[in-house]
Amino acid sequence: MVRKVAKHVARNKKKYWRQISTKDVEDGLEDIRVEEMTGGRRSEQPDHILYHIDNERPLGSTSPSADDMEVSPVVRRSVRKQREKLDLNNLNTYKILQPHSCVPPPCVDSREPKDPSSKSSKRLVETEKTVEMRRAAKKKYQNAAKQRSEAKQKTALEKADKLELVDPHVSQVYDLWGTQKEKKQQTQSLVGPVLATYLDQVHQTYDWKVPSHIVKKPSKLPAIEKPLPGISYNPTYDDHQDLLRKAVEVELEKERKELKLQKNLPAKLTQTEAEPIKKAWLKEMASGLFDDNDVDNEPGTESTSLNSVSVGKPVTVETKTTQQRNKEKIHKKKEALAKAAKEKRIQDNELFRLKSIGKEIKSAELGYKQKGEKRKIEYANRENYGTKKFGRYKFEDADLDLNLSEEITGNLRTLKAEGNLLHDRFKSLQKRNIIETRIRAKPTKTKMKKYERRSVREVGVDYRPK
Amino acid sequence: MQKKYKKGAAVNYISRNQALRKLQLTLSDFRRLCILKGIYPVEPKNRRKANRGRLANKTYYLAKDIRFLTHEPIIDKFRQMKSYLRRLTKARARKEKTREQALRNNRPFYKLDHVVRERYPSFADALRDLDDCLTLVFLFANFPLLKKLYEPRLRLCRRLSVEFLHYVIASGSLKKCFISIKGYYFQAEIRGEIITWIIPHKLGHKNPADVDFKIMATFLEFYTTLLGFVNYKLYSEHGLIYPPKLTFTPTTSSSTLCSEDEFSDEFLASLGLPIMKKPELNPVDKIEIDQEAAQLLGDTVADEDARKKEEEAKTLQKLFSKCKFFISREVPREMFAFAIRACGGDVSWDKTMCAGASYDVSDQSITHQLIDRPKLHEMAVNRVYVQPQWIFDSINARKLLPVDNYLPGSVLPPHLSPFVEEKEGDYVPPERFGQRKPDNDIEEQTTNKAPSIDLVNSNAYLNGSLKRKRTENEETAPKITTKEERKRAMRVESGQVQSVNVSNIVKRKANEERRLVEMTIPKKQKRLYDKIKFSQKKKRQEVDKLKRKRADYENNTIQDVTNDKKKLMKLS
Repeated sequence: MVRKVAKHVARNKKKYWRQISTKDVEDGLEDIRVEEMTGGRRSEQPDHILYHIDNERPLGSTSPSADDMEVSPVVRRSVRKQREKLDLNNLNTYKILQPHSCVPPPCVDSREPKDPSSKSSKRLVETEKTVEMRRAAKKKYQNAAKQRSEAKQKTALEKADKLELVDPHVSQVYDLWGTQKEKKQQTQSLVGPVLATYLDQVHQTYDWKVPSHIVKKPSKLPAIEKPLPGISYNPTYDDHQDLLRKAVEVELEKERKELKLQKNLPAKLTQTEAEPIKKAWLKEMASGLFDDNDVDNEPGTESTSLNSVSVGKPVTVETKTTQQRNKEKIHKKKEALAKAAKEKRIQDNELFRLKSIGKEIKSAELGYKQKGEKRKIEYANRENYGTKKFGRYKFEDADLDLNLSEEITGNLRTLKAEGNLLHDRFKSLQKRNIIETRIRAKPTKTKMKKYERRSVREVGVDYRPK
Repeated sequence: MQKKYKKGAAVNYISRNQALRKLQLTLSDFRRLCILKGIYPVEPKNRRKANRGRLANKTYYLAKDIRFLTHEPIIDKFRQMKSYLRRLTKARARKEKTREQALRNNRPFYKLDHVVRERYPSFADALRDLDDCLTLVFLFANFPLLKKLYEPRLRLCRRLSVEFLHYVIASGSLKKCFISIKGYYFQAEIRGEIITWIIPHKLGHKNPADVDFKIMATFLEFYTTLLGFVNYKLYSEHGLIYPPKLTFTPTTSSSTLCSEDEFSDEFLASLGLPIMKKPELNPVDKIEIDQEAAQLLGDTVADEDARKKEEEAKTLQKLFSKCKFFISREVPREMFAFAIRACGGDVSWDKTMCAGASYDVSDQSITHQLIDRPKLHEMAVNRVYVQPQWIFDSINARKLLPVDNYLPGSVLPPHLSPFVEEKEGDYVPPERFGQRKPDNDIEEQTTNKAPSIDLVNSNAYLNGSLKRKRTENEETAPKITTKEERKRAMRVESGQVQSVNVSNIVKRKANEERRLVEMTIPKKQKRLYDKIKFSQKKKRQEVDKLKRKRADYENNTIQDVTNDKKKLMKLS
C-alpha cells in the first residue's frame, strides 16, 4: 500500500506511519455519507427496495406466454399447437336445420321462454339460483372432506411405511433368503453390470467377501445340552441318585483341588515349632532393654575365637615326576585300546542281532506313532469341545441344578424350580467359546483425601485464643 | 533376511486393544459389534509368538476378522449413536424441550438384515442354529419389564415366541417334551432339523448377579431379527398368513378395556385357537418329497425309515384329535395348551383365566380335564380327570397312556426324560417298556402279516424251496422200480396243505447272507469284528439275566398275591 513511499524510512520511527495515505478511508466515509443522504445505507436496506423483478417483456416481443417464462435452456420440448375447440352452435349441420324463410311460422312454440319480466319466471330463476348455490356449497364441502380424508390416509400410510423401515422392533415381512438376490438381479438386468456395481457401492448394498470361517462355530458343543434324566421334576430314584452322585463328584473334585493347593503352599508351623522362633524374635526386639551384662559378655567370647586367621586348607603345589607321567600315558593308551575293543565287540554282536534291533526300532516307532495319534485326537477334542482361555480368567462350569431328595414333591403344582436360565445361557455361551470369561469389575471408590484445616490443627492442648 | 514379527502368528493375530484402536470404537461397542457379526475371540497356539515374544494374558482376535469388521456399516451407526447421545444429554441439561424432542424423533438406528444373511447364507443354516435363539427369546418373553430392558424389544420377543409356537402347532412338528426343574424342554423337527428349546417356569423373576446383562441384550437383539425372518419364511412355506391371524375375529364386545388389536393379540397369544392359512396354496409335504427321492434312488432302507418316521409323525399329530381338554386354574396353562394343540387336541380354560377360552367347564363334550389339586368337589361323570403329566408322558410314548396312574391325588409314575435314548440291545426296565414296547409289537405283527402274501407270490427262492420239499416227500415213499409197479402205484391222492413258516425262511435267508458277508471280511478286520460280536453277546447275556431276574421277581409277587388270596378264601 503505502510501503512504496516509506521505503527509506526506518519503520520504527514516527515518520513511517505518518506517511500512510488515508485516501481510501476518506473515500469510503464519503461514500457512506452520500448513501445516507440518498435514502439510507444500501447494506442495511431490505432486498425488495434495492431490487425489483423485471416483469416487462423485452422490446419487440409481442405474445407473452407462460411457456416462455419457464423455458429451460437445455431441454426444449416441442409443444403442439392446441386444436381449436369445436363450436357446436356454428356447425353447418345445425345451420341447415335453421328456418331460412323470412315468413314467421304460423303457430307459437309452447316451449318458448315466457316473458322474463313475469313474476313466475323471476321466481323460477331465483329458485334455480339458490339450488345452484346450495349444490356448489355441498360439492365444495364434499370435495374438502374427501381431500382431507385422502391426505390423512396418505400420511398414515407414509408413517406406517416409515415406521416399518425405521423401527427395528417391527419385524421385517419379507423373505430374507429369497428376495434380495432377485432384486439385485433385476437391477443388474435393468442397468447393466457396471452401473449396478456402482449403485451397490453408492448404496452400500454390495456383498463383502465374507471370511469362510465366520459360518463355522467356535465349538462343537450343542447349544442346549441334553437334560440329564435326574433333573426331571418327578425323576426315578436311580436317575436322581445318579444326578446327586455327579454333583457330589464335582464337589469332591473341587475339594481335592483345594487340598492340593494347600499342600503346595508353604506349610504353616505348628505351635511347638513356632516357639523358638517366637522367642528369638522377642529376644531380638528386647535386646538392649534389660540385661546389659549379657551383652557385655558376648563380645569377650567373640574376641577369643578370633585368633586363627585362615579357614580353608593350606594350598600345596603338586608336581608330577616323569615316571608318573609316563605311567599315566601308558595307562591311558591301554584304556583307549580296551574301550575300542569293547566297542568292536559290541558292534560285532549287534551285527548278529540285526533282526531283533529292527524289531525294537519298529516297536518303538509304532509306540511313537500311537502316541502321536493319541495326542492328535486329544488336540482335536480340545479344539472341538474344549473351552479355551481368552484373557486372564479360566472358565468355571456352573453348578449342577438339582433338587435334593426331600425337595422332590412329585407334583407340578408344588414343584421347586432350580437354576436360572439366564445364568445358564450365559455360562453356555462362555463354554462354547463365543464370549470370553470375565469377572465383573467392582466399581472402585476413589478414596477421599482428608486433611485438617490449619485453624483446626492449631487448636491443641495449649491453645489459647488470641 | 526375514525380519522378525513380519509374518506368521505375530501378524495373524491381533489383540483386543489393538482392534479397538483400529476400529476406533469403545470396548462396549466393540463387544456389541463382535456379537452381532459373529466374530469370536481366538486362542493362538503359541501366545509368545502372537505377542512379539511376550507372554501376557490377552484376548486375541484374528486380524482378518477385524479387517472384515472395518467394512461394517453398523460401525458408522455406532458413531452416530454416540453423537446423538451427546447432543441429547446436552439438550436435556440445557432444558431445551423442543430440541430434545426433535433429537429423539431422529434417533439413529441400525438394521441387522444383512448381518443375518451374511451369517446364515441359507435358510437351513439359520434353522440349524435356532436352539440358542429360541431359548433366549422365550426367556426374555417371560421377563417382567425391567428398567434395563427396552420395552418394544420385550414386546417383540413375546410376539415372536407366540408366532413360533403357532407355527409348531400348525405344522404339527413337536416331537418331544419334558418337564425339568429348570423349565420345559421341547423338541421339534422342522424341515429335517431337530430344534430344542427351553421355556422357563413362570415362577417369579430372579436376576442373577454375575451375568452381564448388556451382552445378553445384544444377543437378543440379533436373535429377534433372526427369528423374525425365520418365522416369516416358515409361515410362507407352510402356506400360513404372516403375521398370524385367527380364523375368526374375536369381538370386542366382551371387553371394553383394550383396543381391538390388543384383544386379538391376546387371543392369539393364548394358543387355543387355530390360525388362518393362505387359501390358494397347498403346502408341499417335505417327507413326501424325501420318499419320492428315495424311491428314485432305489434306496429301500431310507424309504423304510422315512415311512416309519412319517407314520410316527402322523400318529403324534393326531394323538389328541379325539380328545377335548379343559385346563384348570392351577395348571400352567400356556405350556399344556401348546402341547395339546400341537398334537391335534381341542383345549379350553376358564374364561377368567385368560382370553381365548372357547368352551366352558360345563361343556358336555369335554373328555379330559387337567387338574393338579388333590381332589375336586364337583366332578362330572362323563369325563376323565387327569394330572397334567399325563399329557407329556403320552406325547413321549406316542400313544394315549392308560389314565389309571394319573388320576388326581394319586402318586404319579416318574416323569422320564425322552432325551435319553436307549441303544440297541440295552436293558430297558419294564416301566419304560410299558410305555414304548407294546406299540411296537402291534406294529410288527401287522407288518409281518401284510408282506407274507407278497413273499410267497414273488420270491423265486422261496418257490424253489417249496419244490425241493415236495420232491423230498415223494422220495420218502417206498421205492418203486418196475414199470408195472409204477403204473399200479400211480393214483391221485388228495393234496396236502404245505405249512410254510415264512418268517423262519426269511430269517434263514438273512442268516445265510450274513454268513456270506462275514466270510468276505479280511483277516485284519475279522478280529475286530469278532471282538464287537463278543461284546454284543456279553451285553445280551447281561440283559437276559436282568430280564430273568425281573420275571422271577414278578412271578414271586404274583404267587404271593395269589397265596394271600387263597388264605383269605380259606379263612372266609
